[in-house]
Amino acid sequence: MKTKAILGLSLAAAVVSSWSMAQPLAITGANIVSSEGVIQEGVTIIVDQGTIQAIGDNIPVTDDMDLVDARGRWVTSGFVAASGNLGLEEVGAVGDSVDTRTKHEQLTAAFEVADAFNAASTLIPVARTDGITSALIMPSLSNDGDEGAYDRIFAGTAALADLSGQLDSIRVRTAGVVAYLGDRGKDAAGGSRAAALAGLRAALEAGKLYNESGAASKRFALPESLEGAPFSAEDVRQFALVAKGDLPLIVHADRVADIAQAIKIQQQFGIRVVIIGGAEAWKVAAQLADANIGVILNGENNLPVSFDHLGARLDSAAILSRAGVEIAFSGENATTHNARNMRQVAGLAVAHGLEWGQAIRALSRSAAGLLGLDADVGQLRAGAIADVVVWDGDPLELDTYPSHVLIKGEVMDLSNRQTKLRDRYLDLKSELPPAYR
Amino acid sequence: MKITKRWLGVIALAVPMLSQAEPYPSTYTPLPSETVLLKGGIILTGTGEQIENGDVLIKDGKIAKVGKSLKARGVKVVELDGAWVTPGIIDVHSHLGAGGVPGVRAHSDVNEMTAPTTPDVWIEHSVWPQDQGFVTALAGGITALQILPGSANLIGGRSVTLKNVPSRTVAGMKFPEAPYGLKMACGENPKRVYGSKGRAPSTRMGNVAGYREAWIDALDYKAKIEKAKEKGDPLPKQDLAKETLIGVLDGEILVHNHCYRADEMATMLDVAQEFGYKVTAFHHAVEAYKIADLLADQSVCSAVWADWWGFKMEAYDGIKENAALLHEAGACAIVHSDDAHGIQRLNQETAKVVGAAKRAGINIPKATAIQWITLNAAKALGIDAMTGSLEPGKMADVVVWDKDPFSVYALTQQVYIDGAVVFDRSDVSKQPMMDFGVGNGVIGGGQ
Repeated sequence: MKTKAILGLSLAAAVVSSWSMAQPLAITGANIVSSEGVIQEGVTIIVDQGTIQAIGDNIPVTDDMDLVDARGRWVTSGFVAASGNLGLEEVGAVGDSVDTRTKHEQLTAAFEVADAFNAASTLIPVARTDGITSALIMPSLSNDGDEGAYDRIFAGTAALADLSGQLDSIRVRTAGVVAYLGDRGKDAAGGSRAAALAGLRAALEAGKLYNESGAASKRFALPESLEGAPFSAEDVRQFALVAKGDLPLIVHADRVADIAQAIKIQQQFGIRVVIIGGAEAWKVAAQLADANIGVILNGENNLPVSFDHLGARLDSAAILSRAGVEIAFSGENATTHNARNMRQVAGLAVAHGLEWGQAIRALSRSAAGLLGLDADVGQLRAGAIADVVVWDGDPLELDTYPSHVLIKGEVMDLSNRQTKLRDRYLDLKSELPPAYR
Repeated sequence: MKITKRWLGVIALAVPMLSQAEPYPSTYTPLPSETVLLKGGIILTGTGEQIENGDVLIKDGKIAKVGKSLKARGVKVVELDGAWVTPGIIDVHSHLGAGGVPGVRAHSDVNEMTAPTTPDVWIEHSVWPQDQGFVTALAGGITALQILPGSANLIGGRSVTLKNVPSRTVAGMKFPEAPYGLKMACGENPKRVYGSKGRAPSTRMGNVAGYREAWIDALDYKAKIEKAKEKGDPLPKQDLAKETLIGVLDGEILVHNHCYRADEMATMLDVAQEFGYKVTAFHHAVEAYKIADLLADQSVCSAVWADWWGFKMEAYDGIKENAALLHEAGACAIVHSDDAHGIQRLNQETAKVVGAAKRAGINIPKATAIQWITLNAAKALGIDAMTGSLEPGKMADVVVWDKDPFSVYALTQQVYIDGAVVFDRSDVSKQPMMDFGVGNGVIGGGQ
């Protein structure tokens, strides 16, 4: 299993080894937003061997380089989809094409969606065309309203994948364990959110005991101290990584009481926590900032869609960001097939008070950063993976598109199944049916 | 001139009072308004025009004048300072109130999923006027909307068009003189819902047989009534379902047909031709761009999303440019929401289509695109003589935006319905809150 430290050192190197690049590329005259959200103008970015080699305002450009003139244009790090199932589902309602969940009894936390990632999915070029270059891919809860068990609140393990469409797209196999509190966790746990919390504590205790047991146990067995534990050996190993702080726990929670419980558990077990959903997170913004807990925020919800969402509001992002909470964006209409609408959700947050630079940061660095994966992803700096987007306008505006998308330094094709269907039906007057086009 | 108009208004109001036949009448009355001159804004009229530095005069709840340098004495003047003005936004596809928030089972009143054809149900009898979704939609500029039954059934029931004003009763929201609609549905939903119950329809051919059977029954009932009238016999017992279908055959009730695939829309046009009714609008119409020429020829509107796709098989071929390609082919394009969040930002949904069209080399002026959520929507609901554009004599349903409404950063400043300020972002006394939110921590206020 990868740890944060190993990631930081090895991710860029691992990417480079799998690519033999053509000539270096220089993007000149760019307006950029630094990972802190600060704007700089007239910047040159040199990309070679899959990474950003140099970035600054006095970088020499040599004859052997391909040139992208980005004068007056925004250039950002590729955006990172912070939620959803890119590469895990093709058509939502067609079960045959969906790999986001399992009902396997012994596989909850240890259900690693990375293994199901389909780099050939048509969703990937669609997202890429809108400047998304990598994605957190999340497992979904498999059971609603079942009889309930300690382990059923765990959906599995999330991964980080790039959207190059190549077979080696998985960048981080194990990026965090996904758990559900709140109304869905309550159903999975058998009917009460108290049972969901009991499951979460039991899992972390099991992970802790596993870590304390010293020598690793046999492949499919648990150490003696965990005899009778209500979890499979596979799952306990995943809990152990969370308990050790190697893997963050990604907690679905919207009601402020559930978020407060997550903060308490983080402190009690000394683990890393990320909140996803976060409708009422703004009510504990200061506590989240103190605890260094980031929020993948449903940025479009302002309705009491359930009794967990009564305090949902459109300026949540602004309130959280002002308090120093790291945020990224999600939303029912801004995930998976429409991950591209993250930009719109970020723009909406700006309309409701979020600083523009922070919105760009939320779309790029933060999505990976709040999981502790910020070493090389989502950043414009020398040494980072060259996921770079040149935009033809303000990246948050509704009529803006990328003119260039680079993933691992490679210039991507900006057509997709949808642009091809569009072109096929642009002219309906030809003699032969569209099938011949 | 003024007197004539006022008299016309009185006559128009008197007509529904005289005809006792219509049950469940509208009790809507406009909220209090004053004469207002909106001065110095960028006006998208909804008729295809953009007026720079333009003014709008609102009087007696109606648009009195639209133009440049309008003068009016002793009236309230709102300095727009370059703010944008559009007609009130109209959503032709909503389930607000029928599937209200919180989305608990007790609020699930959209689909009467007990028989594949239920033309006897009226969605207004499901609408809970206290749905918080109405006021968040209002903060997004929605002044009128059609509430439809769901798509589980081949024929789902009557729709209702509402004024988006807070009211204690649904009758107090009903858009006066708006025709009813009939919800029909193609494709996956009906065949899945009933097929899984082991009954018809379980296939698309089963769907079509279901529509035809319903229309044959309606024609039979209609013939019986006509025959009875002819002979002076007693009329057959009132049949709610067939009454609604006859309303369609007589052109009084407008067909709103949920349909995704191009080939199925073409089949539905054949069904309509077989029984002599008209499809007013296809809803969702994800593949409408594939038959834009046919839809233009038959003058059928298509109400589409900007970018929803792939959530089911029949939505797999969705493209962002759908509305733009329809418009280019001369067909009636509408952008709709079908969503309590999307309805708050129909301007942005439209802007996404315009942006995608621009990328494809198709330039759609904002003055044109705004019609997709104003005048064209009003046409599909049969209310375009009353609202949908900023033209003298029409209802003063107006939105003032702080910026270009095609920008992601734009927010509504004021929303007017029949000249009354029903939402004002800078005035808490003009920010309605539904009962559910009272003492419950719901934020409201345009947030």
